Amino acid sequence: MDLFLNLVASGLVIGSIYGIIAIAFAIIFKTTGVLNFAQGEVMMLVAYTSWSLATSLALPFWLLVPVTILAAALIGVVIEFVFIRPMSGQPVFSIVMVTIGLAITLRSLIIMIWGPDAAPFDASVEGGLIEIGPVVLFTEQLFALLLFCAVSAAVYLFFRFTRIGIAMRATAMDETSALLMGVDVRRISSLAWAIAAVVSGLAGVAFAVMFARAPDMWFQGLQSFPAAILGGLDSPLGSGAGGLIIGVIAALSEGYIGHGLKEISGFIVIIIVLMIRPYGLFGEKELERV
Amino acid sequence: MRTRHFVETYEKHVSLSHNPVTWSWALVLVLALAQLPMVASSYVLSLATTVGIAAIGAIGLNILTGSTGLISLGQAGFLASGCYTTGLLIADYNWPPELALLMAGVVPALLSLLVGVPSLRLKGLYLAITTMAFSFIVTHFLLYAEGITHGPYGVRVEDLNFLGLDLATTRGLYTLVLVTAILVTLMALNILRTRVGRAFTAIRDHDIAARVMGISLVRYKLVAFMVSSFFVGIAGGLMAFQFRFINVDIFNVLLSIEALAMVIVGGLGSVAGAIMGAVFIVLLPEATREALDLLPTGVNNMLSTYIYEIRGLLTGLTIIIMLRIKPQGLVGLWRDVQRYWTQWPLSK
Amino acid sequence: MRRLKTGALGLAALLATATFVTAQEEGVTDDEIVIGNVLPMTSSAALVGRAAHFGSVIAAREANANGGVNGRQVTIRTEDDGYVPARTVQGLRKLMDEGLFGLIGTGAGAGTAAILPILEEEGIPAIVSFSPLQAAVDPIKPSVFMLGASYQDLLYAQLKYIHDNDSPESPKYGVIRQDDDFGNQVEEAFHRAVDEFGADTAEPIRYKRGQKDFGAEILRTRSEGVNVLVAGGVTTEIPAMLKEASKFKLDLRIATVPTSTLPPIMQLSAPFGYDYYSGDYISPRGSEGSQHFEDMAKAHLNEEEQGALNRYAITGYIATSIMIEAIRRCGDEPTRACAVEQMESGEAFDTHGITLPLDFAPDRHISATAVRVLQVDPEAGSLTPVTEFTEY
Repeated sequence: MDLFLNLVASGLVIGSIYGIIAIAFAIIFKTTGVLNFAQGEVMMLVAYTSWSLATSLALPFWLLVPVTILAAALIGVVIEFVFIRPMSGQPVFSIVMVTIGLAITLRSLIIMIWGPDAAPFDASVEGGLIEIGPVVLFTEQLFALLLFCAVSAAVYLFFRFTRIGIAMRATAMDETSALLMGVDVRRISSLAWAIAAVVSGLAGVAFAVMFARAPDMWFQGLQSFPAAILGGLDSPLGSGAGGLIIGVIAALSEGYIGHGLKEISGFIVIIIVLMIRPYGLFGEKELERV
Repeated sequence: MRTRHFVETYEKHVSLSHNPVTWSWALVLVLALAQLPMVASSYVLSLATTVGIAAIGAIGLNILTGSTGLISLGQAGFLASGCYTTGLLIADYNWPPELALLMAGVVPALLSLLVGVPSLRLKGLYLAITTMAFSFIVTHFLLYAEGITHGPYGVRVEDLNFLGLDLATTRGLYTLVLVTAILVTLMALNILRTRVGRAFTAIRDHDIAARVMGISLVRYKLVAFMVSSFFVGIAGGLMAFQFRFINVDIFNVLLSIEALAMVIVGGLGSVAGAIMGAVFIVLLPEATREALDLLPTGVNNMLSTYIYEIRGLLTGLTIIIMLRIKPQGLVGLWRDVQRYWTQWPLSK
Repeated sequence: MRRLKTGALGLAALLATATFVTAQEEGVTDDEIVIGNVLPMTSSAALVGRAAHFGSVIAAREANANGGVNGRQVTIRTEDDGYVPARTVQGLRKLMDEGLFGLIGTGAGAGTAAILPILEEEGIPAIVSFSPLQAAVDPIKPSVFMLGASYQDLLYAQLKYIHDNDSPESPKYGVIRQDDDFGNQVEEAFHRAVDEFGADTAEPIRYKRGQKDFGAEILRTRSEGVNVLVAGGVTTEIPAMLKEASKFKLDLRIATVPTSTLPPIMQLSAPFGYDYYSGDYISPRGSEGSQHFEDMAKAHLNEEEQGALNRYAITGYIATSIMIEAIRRCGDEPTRACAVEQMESGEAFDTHGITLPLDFAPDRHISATAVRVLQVDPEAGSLTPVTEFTEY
């Protein structure tokens, strides 16, 4: 039982990271129809920037979080303006390819600026262990879980109750009608990218604190794809839940079965689920006009 | 000065080119390529071989993604299965390389049926991620099924006598790749101008309308997967000959993304575009290296620590810029040049 | 008329590609000798590749500062293979095209295996020095040599030391290993040791290359009651494993591969309160044996480049120095065959204290296989040898 609970906890922790990044995917997809292949790299960029700010300005953690949020929002807006805005009007697939090009660019850029070495992320939460019954967690791991809950709640409230959130949902449903109702669609796109950058950036910081700030963090973005698909690309909360599910399944399969199943168990699961529900567990079926 | 192309018979409309000049130029190109081994250094030849193999793979992907509209991120899996099929058949089962190469196309084609079945229900990006999932599973299997695939030790391919060609030499391999590339190009062009090809385009443009017109989605989607994987598998088999030592490392998702980049940068839906895209993506790192070498030594040294990252940076930026200024891809650029040329001096 | 024109055009194109063959250099001109590297300069193994590259650069510059090799300057050319075996092959071909005398950096593990046939065919003198590969010297290839003990010997030595000197009450051995050929060697060392000791073991646990999170793996290790662990991580996996283990304050004796002594890895491992063992076949940096190397490094590299140095620079330095010395012993007209002959002549090569003098023989193309077990204290940043150089 002890093993099981700890495995589940371990899975939830890494699943939180996947889930938060998956929420970022879903936000951009839901609002603009673009699958941002560069989300992992954006997360990495924000995490690195945050690390630089933390080490050069010696910020305490409670100050680092809001500063990171600001920096991430700025990065998201700038990237959207430079790379995505010029492509508006083009077919979605082209924009997706641009994000692929962006991913390649950002990976190289980050190594050029910060070097290829891994470094610990020092501005961490007060270290130490937390014991919840038989489950033992580091403070930063618990932080990741709490971050996930906070982000999910914030996203839910934002989309449900704020004007801008509703405007974003409207743009996602029908861009032309939204325009007719006075929604500035370009600002919405910027905002979507900014929110996605903030959300995934915080996940990146949590990840770097747990492991290390390293130039292969973008791989976590790739691992979050199955999570987003499992939950449904147009459901942010569903994607988040997908992340948790994938994390837990991966940990349990590695813990009990082994054979390196950790990585592909997620993929196997999504294939099975997609056969039954082709738009993900919580996604909406796309209605096509004939 | 030409005003337009007018065709008078159905035959001419469907033919690959009704213009003898086009055929002559094509012949000139083929002859020039055939002469390459005599003038080029061994490195240029091996680069040309890589371009050829990439082109074959890109043509395969183009049939699936460009013509039929089924986005696939799982090319690495098909390449890996083609590569390993050839390698294992030659190394472990002593098959002759000719048959092994053929099987390199057949096995992925059969495998693609497994991937094709989900495609019947999934659309767009969901399908893309599913293909990516399959690719991961295939490479995982290749790594863990040590009994069959040698697991992480890799497979060494020794016997390289292909119809009298010695594939161990860069020249022999280049010749094989050139001939295969030409054959595959012709096959692809032919498929695309027949009923099957038109069914593919119909499915891409509007699949429900296609169904209404009597095109069986199930049948043609699966055929698209099989044909595409056949070509990609052949490319994989040729890779086995090129590297002579195969292991799963190279077949990762980055390779799939690179393949997709080739097709998109070249121009979706066009065989010529796929070839151009392949040439572009493979030669881009080399071109940037040459460009950087031209810079004065001081600047060069400063950049030399990160030269590999600079190459990556330029590749990414080039893709983005290409997509921005010419979304139809390189083939669109080519057509623009053609149009300008034929309409001169009245071209815009 | 038009057909005639196009026909003439085709013929002209054919003739234009007039044939002439370019002769290939063998890497020696009147004023320079080219020694090449194919190394992972990017990717997760960049730490290793860059260091090895700079190590060979130091050796070359040292030789050039002392008048070169019989009047010729040594040039180092390095190609990046990004830790991908297929690119190791391409990199080698490029070097060969541009003119290559000998090869030091031979790519990592599978990369070395990939280029062995080419090295054999072309007779290129090569010294495999940073990633040991049994197949490089067994069976012997005429021009391929190797420095260093295999991962098997390195880990076995540590396990033996633990078994003899630091064994817990009821030892249970376990191993967490990567799912590639490197991981296979790690597991082989594990089996060799436990078969010899007849020890209690847990089933080997595999993880995928690039994995970050070892929660599940350590939980399994813990549930099996393992107290002697072979932490078969390449670089950042080692601190990740230690971190998870420290959660439960597991009491572990830990054996690792030489990369665990790299400064960034030690830095990442420091917070978790674990000491671990490592092994090496060269003197660690900061010890008496490596003094000459450190002096040369300061003399020939700038600050930034010195920052990239670690033990892999030392192995690159030794290998390059040996090759340069072998070329020097050939006199004014060095050929590849002569260099190979000099290397296997049995005459020793001096490594300025980094190791005992090294030599090869026609039937033994491997050297520097004696291993020293080190105790690593990452928090203090210290490496303490606990055995002498011994053959395993």
